[in-house]
Parts: sequence; C-alpha cells; structure tokens
Amino acid sequence: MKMLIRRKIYYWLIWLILTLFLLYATSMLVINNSGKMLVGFIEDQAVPYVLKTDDVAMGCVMAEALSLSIPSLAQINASPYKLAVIFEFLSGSCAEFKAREEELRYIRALHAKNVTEAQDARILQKRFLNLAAQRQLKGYLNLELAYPEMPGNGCPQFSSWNDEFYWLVGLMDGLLAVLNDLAS
Amino acid sequence: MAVVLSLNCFVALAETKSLCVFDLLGANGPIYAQMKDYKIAALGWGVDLQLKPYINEGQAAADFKAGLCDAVSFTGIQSRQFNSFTGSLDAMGALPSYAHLKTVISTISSPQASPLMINKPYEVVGIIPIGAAYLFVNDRSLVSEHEDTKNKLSSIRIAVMDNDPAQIELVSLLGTPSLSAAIAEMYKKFNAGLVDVCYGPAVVYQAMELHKGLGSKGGVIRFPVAQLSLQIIIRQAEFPEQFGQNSRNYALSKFNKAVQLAQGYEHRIALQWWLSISESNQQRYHDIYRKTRLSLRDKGVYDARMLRIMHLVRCKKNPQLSECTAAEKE
Repeated sequence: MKMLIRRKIYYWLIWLILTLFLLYATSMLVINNSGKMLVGFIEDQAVPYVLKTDDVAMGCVMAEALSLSIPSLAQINASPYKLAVIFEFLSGSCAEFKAREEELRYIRALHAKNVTEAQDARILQKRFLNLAAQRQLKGYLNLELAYPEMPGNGCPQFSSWNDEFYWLVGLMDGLLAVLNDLAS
Repeated sequence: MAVVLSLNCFVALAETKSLCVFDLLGANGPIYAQMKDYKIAALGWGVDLQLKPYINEGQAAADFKAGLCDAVSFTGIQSRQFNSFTGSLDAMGALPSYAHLKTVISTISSPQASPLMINKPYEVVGIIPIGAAYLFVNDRSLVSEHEDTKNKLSSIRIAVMDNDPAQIELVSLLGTPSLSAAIAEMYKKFNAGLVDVCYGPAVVYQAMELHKGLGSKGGVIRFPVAQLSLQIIIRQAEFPEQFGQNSRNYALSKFNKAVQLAQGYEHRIALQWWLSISESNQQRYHDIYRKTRLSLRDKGVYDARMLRIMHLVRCKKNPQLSECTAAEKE
C-alpha cells in the first residue's frame, strides 16, 4: 500500500515538474519572440507608416512619448538600438520645432523693440536647442551600439534598405547634435 | 504700475546699424549665436543691429574698413590693426591663466580706462574670451617631460597664421621652418601631416578633428600660448555716446560663462592627450615668449601699455617670477 502511494506521488511529481518546465519554456519562447516580433513590427510597419504621414508634429509627439520606453525592449531580448536612433531623431525634431517657434517670437519681439520679450524668447530657444542636441546625441550613441562593427571612415555595405536608412538617420543625429549644441 | 513697467521694456526709437560677425561656421556658429544675444542687449541701448555672418575674418575686417559694416566682431589678432592696445591682449605667453585674463579685462573695461579703448574713428566695445590657445604636436617625444627641447625645436615644422606677425616672429626666433596658412587651412595641413605643430583653442580639437593629426604619438601641450579673445569694434561716431561703456559692461558680465564654455572644450580633450612639460622647459618657453613680446613691442606690433599691464598682473599674482626683478621690464 505504502509503495503504491509513493509511486503515485512520484508519478504526480514528475508530471508537475514536466508541466512547470513546459510552462517556463513556453513563456521564454513567447517572451523571446514577442520582443523580436514587436521590434520587427515597429521597424517594418510602424516606422514606414509614421514616415509616410504628412503630419510631422504627430510623429514627433509620438516619438517624444515613446522614446523612454524603447530601451526597455532590451529586457525582452530585443535590440532596441536601431529604433532608438530614429525615435531620438524624431523627439529631437520636436525640441527643434519648439526652438524655431521661440526664434520667431524673438524676431517678432525685436521687430516690436520689446527687449524683455526678446531675451525671454532667446533663453527658451537656447534651452530647446540644447534639449534637441542631447536627444540627437543619444540617437547617435545608439547608432554606435547598433552597428559596432561598422568602419568610421569608409563607406559601409548594408544587407537591407532598413539598415541603410537607420545608418543615415544616425549620422544626421550626430551632425544635428553638433550644430544644435553650438547654436545653444 | 504694471503698465508703466511693461512700457519700459519697449525701446521707442532705435537706430539701425550693421554688425559684421566672423564665425568659421557662419550663421550656424557659436559666435554668431552669442551675437544674437548681444543684438538684444544693444537694442536696450538704442541701437538695432543687423547681423551679417562672415566665414573669412580678413573679409570682415576689409568690409568694416570700407564702411560696409558699422560694427564688427572678430578675433583679437584681427582687431590689432584697429586698436593695438586691446589687440595686444593675445600676446604670446603673456597671460598664463583665465584669472590673469579676468583681472586685465576687468581693469581695461572700467570707465576710467575708456580712452584706451578708443582709437579714432574706432572704439573697442567688448572683449569676450574664446579660450587659451595650446600647441598641438604630432610627436610627443618633441616635448618629452624630462628632456630639454632646446635642440629638438629647430627641426620641427610649425604652422602659423598668415595674418599674425606675432606668430611669424616667434617661429623666426625659434629658428624653425614655418608654413603660413589661413586659420582653417592651418588645421587641414596639420591633419595631413604637412606640419608637426599647430596652435589653437581647445574648441578646434573637435571642430577641426585634430585627433587625426595627433595620430597615436601626438599630444596637446598643457601650457597656454596665448589667451584668444573675441573683440567687438564700432565706428564710434555712428553710435550713441554711452553705447561703448554699456557694451563693455555687458561683455564683462559674460566673462565667466565664456570661460566655462572654453574650459568645457578643454575637458573634452581626453587626459591621455595632455602633455606636461618640465620646469626647465617651462622657464625656457617663458623666456622665448618674453623675448618675442619685447621684439614685437619694439617693432610696433604689440602695444607697450598693454604689455606693461599684463606684466604687472603677472607679478602681482606671482611676485617670485624672475621677470619681476629683471632689468629689462615690459
């Protein structure tokens, strides 16, 4: 009788271990692939869609809102660097738009000979340019992480159009970061 | 009351004048950005400045002379032809630190010193530091910390700016071959390996990608060759009477920020690139610079009054210096 009970316990214990293992393996599979699927979807579908729209302001606001969550994709085994290149570029553009508005306010104030207003607008313009430069620098640093093997001075070869596009956006990130830093 | 206060912020009448701004990056550069702020301040003093960007310093000076600009902003080297007193501020090795520079600029920006800022028809209305100039070398063994560089210097090629007689005089004193070039060309030649040494503020290290010229063996000598400055000059008769003093006070108020910016660029050069030089070599450099300054003073390039002020500041801050007791004083 005792043997029978012990055998039953072993039997259920083995099933329990197997079930837990299966659940764990499945969850790992889902987590691994969902990260890759999510990044793949954003890269192949969402980014081209956003770039296609003519409402630049909406794209920039979206990037500004989501930029912070992009690095967290690394937690589900997806490489977020290429996405960060374009999201930081777009959120940098957001700050640039605001800087441009402040520059217009500065010019208007100068035209109206309003010194205080012009000073205020200029301070804000420089703050936004500095913010844009910081975001664009982050984008450029992500480019270095996304393509660590790429040469610094030669022309690189890419396997896909997407890669070529991210590379160019990353280079623009670097260039704009320098220009906006100097202007701020 | 609020209405009265807000009305005070408006300038009822402002004369329109043109300001030619030299910036290597044109309207996108940091100097042009500073001048946008200056434009606001000038509006408060009753002048509406229209900014014109120049990427060639010589052209800006020529246009100012020709009357195409009412005011101009460029480096101290270029301003020497309009006012040799303030143009001597960047004399070779004259000011070893930013603290020395601040003392000098504060002194000469005071209302009592205003006659020195005027050289009719021109008036210097602002001096803003760009940063200390350092020597960039492509081979650090040229200035090894424990060696005497006396014999080595004669064989190295130094790039000098073609518009600065001071640099040409210095290399002729050193007896080294030199290659004169315009400001932007100089760094291209250094990067291409055509010259062994070039000089400039820390900001050019990144802007002109000097790491290419430094290679794996080069470095930056931690010894300020000169204190470079940005100077604003006006045609005095074209501007309101108090404009000059207001502007000098404004420029002085921007001193700390400008120095912070320059130091920020210096910190961006990694520690491994900085080269210290031995005490004996430092003394030798001081002697060479001093001889250069005296020679240029006698030739009329440097202004004796400015050299005297800088000498007094150096001796005030460090009375132990040998030049303070030397027979031939600046």
